[in-house]
Amino acid sequence: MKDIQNLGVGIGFREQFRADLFLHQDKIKFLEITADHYLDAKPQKIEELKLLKEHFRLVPHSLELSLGSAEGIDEIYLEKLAELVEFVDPPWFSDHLCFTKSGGVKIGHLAPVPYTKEAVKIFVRNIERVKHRIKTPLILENITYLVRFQSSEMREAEFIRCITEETDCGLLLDVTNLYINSKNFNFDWRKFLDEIPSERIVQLHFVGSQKHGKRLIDAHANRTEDEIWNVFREVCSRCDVKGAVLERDENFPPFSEILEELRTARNLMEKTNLKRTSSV
Amino acid sequence: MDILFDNPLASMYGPYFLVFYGFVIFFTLIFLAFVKTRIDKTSALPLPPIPAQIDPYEIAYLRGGINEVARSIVFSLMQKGHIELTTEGKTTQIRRLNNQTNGSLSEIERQSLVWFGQTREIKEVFETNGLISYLESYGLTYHSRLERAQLLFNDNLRNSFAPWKRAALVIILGLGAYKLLAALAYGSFNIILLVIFAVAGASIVASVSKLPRVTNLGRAYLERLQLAFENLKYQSQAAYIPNGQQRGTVQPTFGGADPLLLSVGVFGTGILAGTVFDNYNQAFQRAQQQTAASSCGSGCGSSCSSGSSGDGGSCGGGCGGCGGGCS
Repeated sequence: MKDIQNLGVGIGFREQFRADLFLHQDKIKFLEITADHYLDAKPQKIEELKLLKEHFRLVPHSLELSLGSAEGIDEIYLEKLAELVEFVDPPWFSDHLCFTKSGGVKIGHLAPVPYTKEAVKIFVRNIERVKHRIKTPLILENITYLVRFQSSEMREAEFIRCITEETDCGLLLDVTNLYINSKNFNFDWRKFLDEIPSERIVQLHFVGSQKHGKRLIDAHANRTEDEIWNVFREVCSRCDVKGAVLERDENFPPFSEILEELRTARNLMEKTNLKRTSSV
Repeated sequence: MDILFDNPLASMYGPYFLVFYGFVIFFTLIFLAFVKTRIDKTSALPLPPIPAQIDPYEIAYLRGGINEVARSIVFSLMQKGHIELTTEGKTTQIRRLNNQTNGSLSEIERQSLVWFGQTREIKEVFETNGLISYLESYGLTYHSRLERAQLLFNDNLRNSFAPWKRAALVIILGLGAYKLLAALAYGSFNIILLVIFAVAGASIVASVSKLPRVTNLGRAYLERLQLAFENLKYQSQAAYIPNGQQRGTVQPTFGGADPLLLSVGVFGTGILAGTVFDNYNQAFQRAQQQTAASSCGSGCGSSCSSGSSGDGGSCGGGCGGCGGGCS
């Protein structure tokens, strides 16, 4: 992971931001694009991709690899994703530690799996298939969940450790997801950080959480709150994060507010990086 | 005489010659059109990047020449409250308002404001000694910069095409003239169709030979800009949809450009239709109708509708013949 290029702080690309991104190119280090938007895309989306590639460093983030599907990887999807990754030529690309298809049917949701040895085997097998086809490093993102399975044989952090170590993959740690899960299921996110292989963390996702009844959800619709910045700061102090991406999908604020959040993230990354290197 | 007019071409039966002549004209035009496409080799060049500090007036110049710059400046000064448009009957006048400081204006806007020292009719903007003449130095700067970037056709490219155009005219008019003389020499005076063919052929050559202002690279660059700023167009339009107020307030400047002014620069004043600046748009359209017959003054630009086609590529470069050429 040490050899991976440091990209700094970026933002998840959404069409609503397009003009603002070009007017603030100097403040945006890289963009995370949703890979699925450019697979089987209309010519205008392809033009958009070319335009973005010419002005920004891009990192694809896919939604439908369904790495946790027992039936294996959708080869057609994998082929299209491979072509996109080849075109974009990123330092890494990412998908989620979940399943999104079952019996060939898309379930339209990032669904969690039971943390079992069997599930680890499935993930490892699927990830090896992806790695065989796409040589660019794949990093894996932790998701939020509303249920935990009784059949789980290990904790989530342990599950992540097993998969990343067996596949030699990096981690995309979504600090908001971690915070939300810790609140919804009443566990200490610091302990979680102790248990995951922090040296494998390549990228972070951050955004504000949203209250939904008694639970928090990851609506990607709010400003990052202080508690999540605390998780962000703690992660940065533990490892050399190569990139952090603000994920905002709804309730778009003025772009100046987005830039302010990016600036906060950049400051935290730089400060903690400085502390870490001076203490070594 | 025998050598000149005693040959199969000179003695060819009239209707047969017209068919032959028609083919010659047709293939000459095809060849000329082919050469024209080969003259502009800029498609192979890499597109220039979109700068973070973008000049709306330079983009307006690329899109439609100095007339479009003038339109954008009038809009910007009006939006910032330095001038106002008053319409009486079919005449729209531009009147300077003296209740504003010039601090927020760019250099080109400050310069233009001087021209509005007295009340002007909107059509004066495009007339000789109008605003477009006043902005000539800016136009030259924009032109040379865009020409260097190969976004506009330069004189070298135009000159390299001229011999082909001349050759086509020589072929069409020369052959027609020769047959005309031969017909007269043979005592045939039924030459009206021959003359029509020759004149029509030459006219089409002249039309086909017109090189656009904007190169293929320039057109592609404009399309890129329109794609990049497409949502800015809709956002800034939405901010100025009338809701009882007389004039929208200027949006906060960000990225070095006012969003609506940038949208006008990139897409044309057509995007103002339906906003609180609709009167401005209509005034220019009226001026365009009044002056269209006499000059191309305000006949350019504004060709980009605010329609929601979504392809973003429906305008730009469509004002080739006018632009700075009519000042």
